[in-house]
Amino acid sequence: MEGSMIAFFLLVALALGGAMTMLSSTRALHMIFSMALVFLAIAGLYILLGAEFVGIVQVIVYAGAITVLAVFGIMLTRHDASETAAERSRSNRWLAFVTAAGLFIVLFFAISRTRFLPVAAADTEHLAGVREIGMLFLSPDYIYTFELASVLLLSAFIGAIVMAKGGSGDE
Amino acid sequence: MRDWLSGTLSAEQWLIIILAIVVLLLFVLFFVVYAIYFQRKILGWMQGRVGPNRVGPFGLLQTVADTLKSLLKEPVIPKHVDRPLYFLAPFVAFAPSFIVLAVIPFSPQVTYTDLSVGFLFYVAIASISTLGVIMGGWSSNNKWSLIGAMRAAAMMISYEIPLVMGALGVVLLAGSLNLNDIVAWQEQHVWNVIPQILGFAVFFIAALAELNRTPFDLSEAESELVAGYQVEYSGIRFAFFMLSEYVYLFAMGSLVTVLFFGGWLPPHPALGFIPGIIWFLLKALFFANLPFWFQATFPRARVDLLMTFSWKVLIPLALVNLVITAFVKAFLA
Repeated sequence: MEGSMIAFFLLVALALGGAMTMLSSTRALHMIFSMALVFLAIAGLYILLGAEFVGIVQVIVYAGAITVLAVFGIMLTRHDASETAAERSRSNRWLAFVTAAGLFIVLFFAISRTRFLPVAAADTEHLAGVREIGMLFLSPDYIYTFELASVLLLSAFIGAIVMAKGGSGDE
Repeated sequence: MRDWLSGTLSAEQWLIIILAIVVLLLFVLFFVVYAIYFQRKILGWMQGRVGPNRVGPFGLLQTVADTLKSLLKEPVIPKHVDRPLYFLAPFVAFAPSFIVLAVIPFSPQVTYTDLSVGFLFYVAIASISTLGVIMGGWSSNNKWSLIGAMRAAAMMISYEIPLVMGALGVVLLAGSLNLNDIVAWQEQHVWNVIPQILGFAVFFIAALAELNRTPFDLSEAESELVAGYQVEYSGIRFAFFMLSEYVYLFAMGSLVTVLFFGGWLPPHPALGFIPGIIWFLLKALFFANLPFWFQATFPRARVDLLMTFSWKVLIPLALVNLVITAFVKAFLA
């Protein structure tokens, strides 16, 4: 078997295993760490596809920052650390099954109808390298999107500062 | 690497891969054993004591004995721990510390991968260790370990920013995130520590915080928090946490060497007859042992000054360094 196939199936197994653990666990913190496993496996898939930069950013942002943020969120808020079995009632299960099956059908048809352009393995480096992504962001096509995203982040920063300072009561 | 992924792996290639990994692991374990010995000797010497001198000649086998002891010890598992996370945490903390070594170019011949985003890879994977620390602190179900884990997580996250920004000047100069390219740039020009002295200062201080070493060892703080997130761990699981900490010392020493001190390059081309790996190890081991010296010299920082220092001193300095570097590169070079 090709090395990439072995790596692919290992990563897919990890991602699916993480997702299943997340769904079946009852403690919020277990769920978060299973999600971290899913994020890591998906980052591995990106790297396998040659998008190294995207994969690494996935690790930094999702597996690192988002997971830690979620952990802090859970530790710092009032909650019951685990949900009881009664909350998963029978009607909810059927509803969940129908929703999941519907989503699967939609995604399955969308993916099977898409025509993927074949890309030589050697070219993936030049499609999603750091330099190419940087040049694209600063090209006329994407510069506005890029700048708008920066402004959005800046406003989120300012919002966070305002919320953090709100408690001091000097407004 | 990439051609190994696309082709079928023969038994020989598997053997080479596994052998290379095992050799690195053995070297790292050897380093950890003697780093602990040197730490105790250096601390002893600076405090006017003798240090370990009983087991073996000059106490050289002291850490070996300690390791054997912790491996053979009965694993004590407190009753109220969150078992799956408690068992998983030491490994989640240790695995990234070893994985990051994959992108370090030890010498032109000894390089495990040639990743185009090598520097980012190091930072990203190292941040996963934070998860292991939080996992351990939370699952121990103990207030000291939880406080220690929260401190460690907060500190590691906020010092990651100056760490990356301090090194951005180097990336800008070399025009690449690939650690091999960064060393190659230094071969043609000068060691980065000369043009990037400010970046180096910011990077090294942030690195000490990332490693949880004095003066930033607040997550362990043995006098107030017992031992932080590790307090409920014993035997082999505790050993894994310690192992991770010391492997990171070596990894961070290697990263400093690669980014700022020319990696495998000799200080002067005339000294090139000594192989690159020797130069690399000399430099990396120096920077890996530097924190022990600091440990004997500095008091612990106050917890309320910790975040202020990162956000109001280190990050602005790193930004200034970045702007100056960009200016020089764009207009003067």
